[in-house]
Amino acid sequence: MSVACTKEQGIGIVTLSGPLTAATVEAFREQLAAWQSGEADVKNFVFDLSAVDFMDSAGLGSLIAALKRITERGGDMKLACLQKKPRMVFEITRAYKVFEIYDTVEEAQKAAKK
Amino acid sequence: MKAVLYTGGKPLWADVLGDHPWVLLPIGSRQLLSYWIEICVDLGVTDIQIILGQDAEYVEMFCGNGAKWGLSINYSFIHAEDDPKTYLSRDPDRWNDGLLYIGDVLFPRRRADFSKEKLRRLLEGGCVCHEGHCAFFISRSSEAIGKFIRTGQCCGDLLCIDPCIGTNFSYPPDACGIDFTCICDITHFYRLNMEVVRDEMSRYLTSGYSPSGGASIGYNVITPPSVSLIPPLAIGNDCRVGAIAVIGPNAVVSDHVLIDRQCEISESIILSDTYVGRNLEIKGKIVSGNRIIDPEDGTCLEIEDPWLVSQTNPRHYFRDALRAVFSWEFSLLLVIFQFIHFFFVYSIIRLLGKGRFVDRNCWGIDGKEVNLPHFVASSPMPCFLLMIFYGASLDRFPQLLNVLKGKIWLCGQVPKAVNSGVIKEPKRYFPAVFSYSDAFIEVDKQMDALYYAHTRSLAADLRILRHALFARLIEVERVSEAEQESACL
Repeated sequence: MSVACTKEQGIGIVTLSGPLTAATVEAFREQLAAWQSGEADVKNFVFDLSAVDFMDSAGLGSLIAALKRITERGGDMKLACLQKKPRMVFEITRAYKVFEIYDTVEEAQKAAKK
Repeated sequence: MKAVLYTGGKPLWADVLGDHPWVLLPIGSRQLLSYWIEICVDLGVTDIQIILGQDAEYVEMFCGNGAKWGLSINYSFIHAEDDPKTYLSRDPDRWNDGLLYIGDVLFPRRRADFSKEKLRRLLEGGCVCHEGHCAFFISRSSEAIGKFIRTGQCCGDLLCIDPCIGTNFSYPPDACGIDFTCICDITHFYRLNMEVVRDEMSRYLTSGYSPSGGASIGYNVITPPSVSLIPPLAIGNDCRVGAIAVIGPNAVVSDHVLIDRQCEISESIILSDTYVGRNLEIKGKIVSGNRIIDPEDGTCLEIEDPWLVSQTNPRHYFRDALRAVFSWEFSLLLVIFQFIHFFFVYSIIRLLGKGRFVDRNCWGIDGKEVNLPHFVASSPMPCFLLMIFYGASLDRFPQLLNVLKGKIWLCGQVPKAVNSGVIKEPKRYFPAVFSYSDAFIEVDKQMDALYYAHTRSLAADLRILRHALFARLIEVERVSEAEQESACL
């Protein structure tokens, strides 16, 4: 699992690559926390999941934890480019009701600006 | 006339569904194979030969000797690479008085105007071709049978019933009241199920009970009152549904399925031996063990996360062997540890006349009868001595000796009394000294027996044992009251 974080127009773009599972959530959490600590002014985030081909309940839990942390700080979090298999996990766990999911990063960015 | 049903040669599209025998895949409320057998019954064919392929034991377990249909069913086995006509050609004279052959993923779909009289027109002869070979064949003509056995092809003189593929022959399905539907992919399988459960279930015999229009509920299905069953739906046998779950509309749930609480299942097929985790929403999917399949494009998500969906297959030979070793060794330890305590405490109980052991005739491992000593107190009022006796689980000491003799398990299900009826599924019956009812306060013994049969493992045994031994020690008053209520002299 690799996590690439950039800042575009005040919005944190978090690009994840690889499976987000129990084996990789710790790495995801650490890398995200490390970037967030250096960019304290970024409140809104877009998570680009186009390269996440698989996700289990631990991976989903880590996204929910990230959402909780971000909203506690007054920010917002959008998901973009959810692939077919992770989307199925979102569907069966009803996580689609918790997250705002967009087809493209640009759409998610637009929504995050509002 | 004799019937030959070929159950080998798994279709490629069924691979995504895992290791379920394809002839036992559900169509509506029943397995595909049962529809084939129903045709035999309706046509008066009582001598059936089933050619087995992979998963032979499951097909055999399902059909038995055919007595439940009033038929005589025998079995043969051929390798997956062998052609079923090789089997037919071994003894061609055997089919001289007529042959009914079914050998593809063929669903005999009843039309709205179906009648058994119409169906019997098939006895005049007919065939269904699929992808260049004969998927269904019936004839009394030795010439036609001979050609079919030699070439696998239908005889030109035969009428061909072919609603799917289209051939030069025409024999309209309405003549025999059946559309022979060859299931050609996973989308077709899904849509066929949805159509049958939605509109056509009343055309067939359904298993179990049909409490209201469009709902078929199998045997031994446990649903708490808070569960919503919204027709049309079909639920197979031996299923357990957790509280506040919603099943339907348009849900096909096969046998031995556990649906945990607060789940919503609609527009979906849940294949047998599947556990669906708590609070999940399954809509427009096929779930098979730990696989979730999107029937529209065949995308298969395999989840290695038993909290979501998982296989509850009873085929755990290695695990069961491991459990047996653990069960025996831990029982021996308990016997050694408890022996002196049991001897002294029980001697005092007997001297004071506080209670004694009474033999109960129960079903043991493999459905064999066993006498299990059960402690009964002489007074409903719990006393200090009895609380020690129950709290230290000394009342189970004599049963531990039965574990050492290999008659029951250490952890498993509450043993069933012989007078409560025979054990219908010995492979899912694990009579034991300790069960979920010893480990947790509010349990439903029947539901938990089923749950244990599906999810048994060494870890589950350890969990039961830990909870049972400690719960009985910590909540000794509750335990002693419960034991005395259930087994007072």
